[in-house]
Amino acid sequence: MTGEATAGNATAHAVRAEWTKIATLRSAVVLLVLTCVTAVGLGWLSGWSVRNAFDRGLDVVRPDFHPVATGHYPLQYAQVLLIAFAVLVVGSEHGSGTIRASLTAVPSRGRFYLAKVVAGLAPAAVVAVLTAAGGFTATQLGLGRYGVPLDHDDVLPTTLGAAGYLVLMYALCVGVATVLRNTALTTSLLVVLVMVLSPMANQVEALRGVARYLPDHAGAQLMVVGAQADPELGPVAGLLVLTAWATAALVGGYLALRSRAV
Amino acid sequence: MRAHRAAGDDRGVIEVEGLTKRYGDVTAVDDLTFAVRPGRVTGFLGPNGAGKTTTARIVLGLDRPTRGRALVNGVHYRELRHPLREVGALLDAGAAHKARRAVDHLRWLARSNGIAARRVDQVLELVGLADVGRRRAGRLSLGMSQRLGLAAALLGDPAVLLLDEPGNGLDPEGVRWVRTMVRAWAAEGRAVLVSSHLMAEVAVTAEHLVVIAGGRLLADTTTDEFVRRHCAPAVLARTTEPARLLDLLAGQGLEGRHDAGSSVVLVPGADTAAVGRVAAAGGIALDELSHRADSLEEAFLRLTADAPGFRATAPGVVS
Repeated sequence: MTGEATAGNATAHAVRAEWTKIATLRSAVVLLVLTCVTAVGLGWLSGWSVRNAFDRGLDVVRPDFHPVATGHYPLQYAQVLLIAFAVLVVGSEHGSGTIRASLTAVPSRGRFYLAKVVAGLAPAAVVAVLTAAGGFTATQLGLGRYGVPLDHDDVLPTTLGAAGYLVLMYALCVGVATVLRNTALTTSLLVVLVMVLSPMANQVEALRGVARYLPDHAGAQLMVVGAQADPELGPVAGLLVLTAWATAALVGGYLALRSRAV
Repeated sequence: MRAHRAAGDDRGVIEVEGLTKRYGDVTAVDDLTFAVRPGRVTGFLGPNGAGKTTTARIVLGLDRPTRGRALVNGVHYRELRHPLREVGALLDAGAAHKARRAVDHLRWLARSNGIAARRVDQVLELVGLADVGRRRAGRLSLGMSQRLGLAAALLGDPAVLLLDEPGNGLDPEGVRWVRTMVRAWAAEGRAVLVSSHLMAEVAVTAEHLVVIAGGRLLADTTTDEFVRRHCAPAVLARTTEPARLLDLLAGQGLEGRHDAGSSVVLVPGADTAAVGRVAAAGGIALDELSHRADSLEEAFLRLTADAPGFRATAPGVVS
């Protein structure tokens, strides 16, 4: 007996296949682990340096310092690795020609895309929670007596917000990567947007009216508190804006994939 | 072994109907119609750029036709929920991600179609890759990559196999192995379409030939019939008046063949003396009068040389 099939529906099979692809690509696994490790490492380091500065009376800590907001600060850097993971999940198909094997095995573009998004979202969500919680906890450990206790009122909502932010950014990046296909271009574009363009544009008074609706700035409202929060854009509005971006990117990715020859 | 269709079944398992594919101004496939039937090996032949791969890509739903359609087991490929169990395809051997282990490449493919995991080991064994299955795909030789591609095609034990240039990268022993396998699969009742630009090689295996060039169908016939028609011994006469020579030959009951624009008249089954006499009687000067018997390769090149979109000339080709 050969080739008999196990029971189950085509979409579930497609999701399992996409999950197998991620799990069997070492660089993908490494990026996910590094996302957590970076957040924890950077968090402790930044907390420790703030504590040192306070202890020695150095005037180098930003005036709007808030231990809760600072706790989510490492995530700004760790997200770059999660972006790289999202781009890799999509780019590894196109760069290698695997996309042709994929679509020969799962010819429905919609099913393939759904499977790809879902299979990546699961590990991304786990990593997002670990990154948000780990980075925050490590920062508070580094801050020592300048930090907040973990049962502080702001901790749970902002940490959940931070994890949600990462998951939505992941979805956004998968959509953009599917539209652009080119790994290097996509990574550069997204990293420059998140690390350079958006923070700079939000420093410029004239641009802020528009720049506050950029996905990362809007999404950041889920985790910032105190003086660093954008008064014009609360966490709920921020969540909606980022969700809209992510949804638009995912739909764009689907439309691109559906119409395109591979 | 699942039941495959009987060899006598006359339905095509791959049916290409009026298929046309244009990329901008370029017509890659031009109103192509043919069928692939179970229980035999069909050679899909044409020079590079003839439209073979484009046709295969459309059959597999990777590209959409401009006009016409291609059906697999009566439906469009994109409608198949678990296509690997029905059609095995070898399209490009590089489809495995370089950093992924060969065995993992087959694992995800198997899972995508709900194929039992142990089948992965079976096909690795079958194609002779059992020892290197744990190697990353990027570290496989060209021949091994090709075998991995064949393993992927066989994964779902499909009744239809579509193999694009399966001999690529294989050593002579490997080529013979593919030939033997392909015949065995057809003997089990599977439909096997082998596309290649190497006619002589495929003609050894294939019982039926579909020849295309410039995207157009040139021949759709059994291999025996093809050899009879195109490889028969013939007299070659070169003259500046080929059309008049043809008329005179016809008057003597000799049927000649002449390709437009060429100075050559071919007269199958004739002898040189008879053709020479006809020319002399008509006052036609002959620049050459000789015997020839085309090899399969020559017949193929001659047949495809005049097709639009294919301009390469090969030595020994009459034009």
